[in-house]
Amino acid sequence: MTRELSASPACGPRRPALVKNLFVGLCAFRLQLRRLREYALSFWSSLASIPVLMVVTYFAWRVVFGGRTTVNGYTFAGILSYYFLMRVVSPVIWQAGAVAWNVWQDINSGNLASYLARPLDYNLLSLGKCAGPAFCNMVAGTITYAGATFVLRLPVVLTPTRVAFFATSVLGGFLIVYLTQFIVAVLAFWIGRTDTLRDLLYEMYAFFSGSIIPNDFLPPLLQQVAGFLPLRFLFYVPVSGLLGRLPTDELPGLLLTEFAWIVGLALVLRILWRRGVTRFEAQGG
Amino acid sequence: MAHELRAKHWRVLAEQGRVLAKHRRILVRYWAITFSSFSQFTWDVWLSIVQFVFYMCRSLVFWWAVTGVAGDFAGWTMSELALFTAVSYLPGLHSLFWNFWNSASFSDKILRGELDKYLARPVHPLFALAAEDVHLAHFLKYFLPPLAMALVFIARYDLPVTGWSFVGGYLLLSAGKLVLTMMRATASMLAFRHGEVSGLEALLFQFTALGSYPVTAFPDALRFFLGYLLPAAFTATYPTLFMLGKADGIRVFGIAAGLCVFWVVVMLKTWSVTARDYESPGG
Repeated sequence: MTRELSASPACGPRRPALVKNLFVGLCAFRLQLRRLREYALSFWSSLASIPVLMVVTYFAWRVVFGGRTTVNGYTFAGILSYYFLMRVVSPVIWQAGAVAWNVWQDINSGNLASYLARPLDYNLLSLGKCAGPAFCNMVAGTITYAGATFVLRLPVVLTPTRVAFFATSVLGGFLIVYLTQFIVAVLAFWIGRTDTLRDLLYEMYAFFSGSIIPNDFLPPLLQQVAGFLPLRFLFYVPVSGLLGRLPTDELPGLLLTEFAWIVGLALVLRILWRRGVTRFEAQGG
Repeated sequence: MAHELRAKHWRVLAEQGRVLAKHRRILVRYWAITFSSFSQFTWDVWLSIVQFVFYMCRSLVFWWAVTGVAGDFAGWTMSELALFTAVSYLPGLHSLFWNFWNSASFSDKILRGELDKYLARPVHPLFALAAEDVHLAHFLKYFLPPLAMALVFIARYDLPVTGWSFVGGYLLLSAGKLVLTMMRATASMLAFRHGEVSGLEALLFQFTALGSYPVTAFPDALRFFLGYLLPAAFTATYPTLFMLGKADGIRVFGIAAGLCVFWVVVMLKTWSVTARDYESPGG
């Protein structure tokens, strides 16, 4: 429906419609940034939670290491860096999860009708809404991590290749969460309530993304499953890349795989969306 | 004279009985509502139980991986850690009667001036607020899977846990979770004077994440902090140790009872002082 509207003569030719859609997405992005200011205390408190969580990680892994210098190929500083980096990346990645709630709400409340009637791309608008806070968290996270790396002398490999790989794969991870969550939300066209399915997907993220423990520690069977799924690109791949645990010659292949997953998920979403919208009913008014 | 005193005594008792009956009726109504909302989404309920089992398995995978490379965790074997995990997910008994869980929305209610309806009810406002979050069906949903898991681990690993020690450990856990809930309620009352405090409150309670590890593994100062000041040790470590017969029962129950009394007093005092600042246009 949105495609028909954008291609209609009233909205002008195809190219300006695309520019218009990008502009709308950008507006949503800026709006979300402004909203963050209204909740400044909560926002900074959530960033301040990183040191608290690191204290937990520090004491737990100190016990695991005991007198050992390495565990499963990780030094104590290495494992702390892994978790620290993971905590910095996670506020960026998890912002994409908001899309599931937003879209589900729009579908179930009937608000989607008002968006479908406008000459804009709903997908880009949703992306803009999630990307605003994610961008803010990324800036704050980069400052935090750069400062901590310098002060604590964390063992990271800051070559241009690895930094670029890290940034690209974090962006890819954000898109993977965004697309998978959007797909779950779109299922509301068929099954109505999707919040539990969304939570179940979060469990899958937890198991295979490297957020609980680096994937090298998982049992062999779970490691194999994790290697097959795109979820390892959320934390394990970007963080291991920056820590120098992945060989440089493997990095382009990993990025290509991540890109292929994003394209595949985007296609699935597009198909589901087009079919789902035809089932959508709203009373109007 | 003695007859009059006795009559007065009975009148007071009858009045207290009526007040209790009011509270009980409210609770029963909320319990019934949760079951009806469950029956509307049966498929969703089963899926959420599956999700909760996966959620618990996260911790098991973590401990499996850690003990796989380190052998044990500060003296805790995998079988003990498995029981520890199951116990840590058991909801406290208090959540059936007084569940101040949704405290973020409490500060929201204060800021929006939506506290009026609770103040107007013929029960204590703190009870009226927390009763809204009491869900019998939810309680069973979150109680039965970890209970089943704990029983399976006790049988599978032949752990030295008796029925009485399990019940005692569970009561200890309930006391610990009640204390944390009261602390949370007290912290959220800061909203009367300082506006939105949910972020600050969440920051404070992130330290309770330390309770998801056996607290006995930590240095003395941290152990003291988690045992007496922010008693996360009572949410899993001490209850599990009590079940396994490795904790001094009198000591841990004494501390838990002391903390409960202390926080009841602090919470009620904070309420009586801060609630005076509440303003609302009504309507």
